[in-house]
Amino acid sequence: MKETEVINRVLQGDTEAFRLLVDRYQKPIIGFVNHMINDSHICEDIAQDVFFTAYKSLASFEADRSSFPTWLFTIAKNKSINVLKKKRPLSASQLPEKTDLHNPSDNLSERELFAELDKILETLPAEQKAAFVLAEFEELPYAEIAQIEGTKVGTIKSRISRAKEKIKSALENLDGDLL
Amino acid sequence: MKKQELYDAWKEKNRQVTTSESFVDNVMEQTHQYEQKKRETSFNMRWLVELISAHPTAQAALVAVGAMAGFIRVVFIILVILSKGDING
Repeated sequence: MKETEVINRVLQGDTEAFRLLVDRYQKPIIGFVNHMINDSHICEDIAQDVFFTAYKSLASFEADRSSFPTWLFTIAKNKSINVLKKKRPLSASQLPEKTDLHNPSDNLSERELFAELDKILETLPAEQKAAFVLAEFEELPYAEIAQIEGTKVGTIKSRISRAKEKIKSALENLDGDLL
Repeated sequence: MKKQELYDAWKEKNRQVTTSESFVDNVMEQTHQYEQKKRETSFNMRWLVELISAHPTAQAALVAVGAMAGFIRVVFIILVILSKGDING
């Protein structure tokens, strides 16, 4: 069934039809929120709130302005940023550049290396992280990401490129230590 | 392992998402509760409107409450004007 048909059914009072949309987008939304806030304990609660907010404001969704997933990701991004604002920011000493990531005497397993990369992802500024996650993990086109972020495609490209640069430079440092 | 392969493997790892089996049900329960609450509120309002339109005494009471509220407001405005006059004078 087409998404617009499902949305129309929900708007006409068939609440249960909304299940199709939740089922279809639960994984990308939970994944995105999890990468944004990096807290698996609360990410499902936030994702649930994203879908509930979408349900309540479904009448304001304009299919000719954006696709349903784009709209959903926009809600998810806003909610994640609100959560991040409430969380304590990482201190300078916790940033990966300052921590002892590259110690020649330590050999990293692949799992440990991925954990280090996850840490670096966590320290990226929220907007950079959102653009990077949407492009690299969710594989959304730049134009769609720009719509979600409410900015120009050029800005998105530069955010993603800066994020990639940081991650790849960390990878360069860490890779030498890989077992 | 080459750096690009490592990077791709890390991306692939992060693409894997596990969700709890009850996630969809939890969202649906929340939406059903919301709809139920909305129906109850609209039912209460409809009940009130029907009550007022069916009973002349209820209509008279509503008019009396409105008139009383209007009167109190006028008195309050007069008091405010008079108190300002006292301060200036």
